[in-house]
Amino acid sequence: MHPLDLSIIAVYLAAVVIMGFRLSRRVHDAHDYFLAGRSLPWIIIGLSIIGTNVSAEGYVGASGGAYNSGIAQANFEWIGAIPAMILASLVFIPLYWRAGVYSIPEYLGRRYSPAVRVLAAAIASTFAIFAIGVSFWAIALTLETYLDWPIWLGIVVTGTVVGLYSISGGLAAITFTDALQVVIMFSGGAAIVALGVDDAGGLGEFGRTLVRENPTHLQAYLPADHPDFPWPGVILGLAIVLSPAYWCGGQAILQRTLGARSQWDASASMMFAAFAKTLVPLLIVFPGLLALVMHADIEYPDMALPWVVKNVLPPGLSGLMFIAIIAALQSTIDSAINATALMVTRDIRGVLLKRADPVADLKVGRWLTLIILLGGMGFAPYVGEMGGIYIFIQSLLSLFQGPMLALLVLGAFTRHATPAAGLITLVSGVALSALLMSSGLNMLYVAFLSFCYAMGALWLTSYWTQPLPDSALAGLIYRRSGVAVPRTARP
Amino acid sequence: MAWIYELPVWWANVITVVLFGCVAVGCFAVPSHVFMNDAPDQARWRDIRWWALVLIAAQLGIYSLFS
Repeated sequence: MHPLDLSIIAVYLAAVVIMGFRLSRRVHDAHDYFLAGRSLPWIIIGLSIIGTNVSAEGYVGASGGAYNSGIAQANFEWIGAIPAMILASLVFIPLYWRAGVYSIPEYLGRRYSPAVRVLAAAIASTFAIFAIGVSFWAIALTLETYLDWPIWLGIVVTGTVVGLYSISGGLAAITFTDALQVVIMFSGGAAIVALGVDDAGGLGEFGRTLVRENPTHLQAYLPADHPDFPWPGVILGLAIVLSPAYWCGGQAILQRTLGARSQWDASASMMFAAFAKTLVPLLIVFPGLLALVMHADIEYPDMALPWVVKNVLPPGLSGLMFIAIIAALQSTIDSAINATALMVTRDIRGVLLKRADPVADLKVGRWLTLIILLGGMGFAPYVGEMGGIYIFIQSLLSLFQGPMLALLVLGAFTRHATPAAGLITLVSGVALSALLMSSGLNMLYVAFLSFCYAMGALWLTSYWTQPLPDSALAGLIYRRSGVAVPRTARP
Repeated sequence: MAWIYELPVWWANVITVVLFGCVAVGCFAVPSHVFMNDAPDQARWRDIRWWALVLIAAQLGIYSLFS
C-alpha cells in the first residue's frame, strides 16, 4: 500500500476515536447515551441515517448485486426507499416524537402490550447481531482483498476501533462519526464515478459497452420471472412492505431522529436523507457495473467494489475510498450495537425486571454494547459460507418485517388493533414467514404475503379481544390535528 | 403464483408513476403543523412537503431514464 494511503487511513482512524472520546464527556445517563440528550441537528442526523443505511444494505453486497443484475439493484435506493422515507418523515417520526419514546419496541409496547414490546425487541436484536456479523465479514473481506489481512485480523481491528468510540460516546459520537464517514463516502464515490467513466471512454461508451455485453443491466425493472429481482416482488415486497417496515420501524435508523433537538429537525433529517439516498447508487451500484465493463477478474460478485478501488483509483484516492468502504460498514456496526444495547437494556431487561434507572441503564448499556460487539465479531467468520451477503440480510429481514409493519400501520392509524391480537399476529406472522421461506419462495414475495396475512389476522382477531382504553392510546394514534383525540365511544 | 411470472414489465413503470403520484398527493394531506410546530421559524423553505415533491420529481425522472 502507498504511504499516502496509509497516512490517510491513520488520520481517519485517529479522528473517529478522538471524536468519540471528546463526545463521551457529554454522556451522564442513559438519555445522553442512547438519545444524545436530544441535541442533534437535522443535517448531522440526515448524514448519519445514510451512513447507517448504506452499510446496512451492504456497500460491498450491493455492488455485487449490481454486478449480477445491473441497475435493478438500485431499486433498493429508489422506489424501495424514497416513498417510505417520505412517509416516515411526515407521519411516523412526528408520532414517535410526540409519544416521547426511546425506541420503536417501546412504542409498540405502549400501543399494544409489554409482551409485544419484549418480543419485538428480541426479534430486532437477534437480527441486529446477525447484521453486525455480516458487516464485520464485509469489512474483513475488503481488508483481505486490499491489504491481504487474514479475516480474523480485519474483524479484531475493526471491532476495536468501533468499540472505542461507540462504548464511550454513545449515540452522539456515533452520529457525528457517521456524518464524517458519509462525507468521505460521497467524496470517494464521486472519484470512482469520474475516473471509472473516464477509463471506460466516457459515459456514452460506458453505457454502450455495458448494454452490449449485458442487455438488461440498465433496466430498472427486470422480468417477473427473474430469480433475484422480479419486478412484482420489487414493488409488492420491497416498496410496499420491506421498505416501509425498515424506514418507519427500524430502530437503528430511527433512533438518531429521536435524538433530534426538535421535532422539525427529526422530520427534516429524514427528508434530507432521502435526497442523499437518491444519489447512493452512484456509490454502491456503479462500481459493480464498472467492474463488468472493465472485465474484472474476480471470483465472486461481492469482490467487485474492492477490485474497483484497487484497480481504478490512484494512491491517495484509493486510500480515501478504502476508508469510505470501511467507514460505511463501521457506521452500520456502531448504529446497530447502540440500538441493540438500547433495546436489550430498556425494552427487554427494563420490562422483565421492571427497572428504569437512567444512571444504572447507562452502565448496563455500555456493557451490553461490548457484549453485542463481541457477539457480532464471533458470528462474522461464518457469514462467508452463506452466499451473497446482501441477499442474506434481506432474507432475514423478510422473516419479520411484514408482521412488524402490520402492527405499526394498524397501531398508528386505527384504534381497532388490540394488545392480544398484536401478540398473536406477531408470533404467527413470523412463523408463517419462516414456513414460506422454507418453501423456496422469493423473499420479496414472502414479505408481501406475510404482511397481507398479518394485516388480516390483526384486524380480525381484534374483533374478539379486549382493546386498550382510550386514555391509554392518547398520543399514540396518528391524527391530522397532530394529536390523538380520545374517542368517546367504541363501536 | 404462476400467473405473476407472466406480467409484462411495462406494468411496473405504470405502477411506479401511480405510486409516486399517490405519495405526492398524500404529502399535502398532512397538515404543516404536524411537523412545523416546534420549527425555529415558519419560513417557507422549512415546509418539508415541498422537499418531498422535488424528490418525487427526481424519482420519476430516474425511472423514465431507466425504463
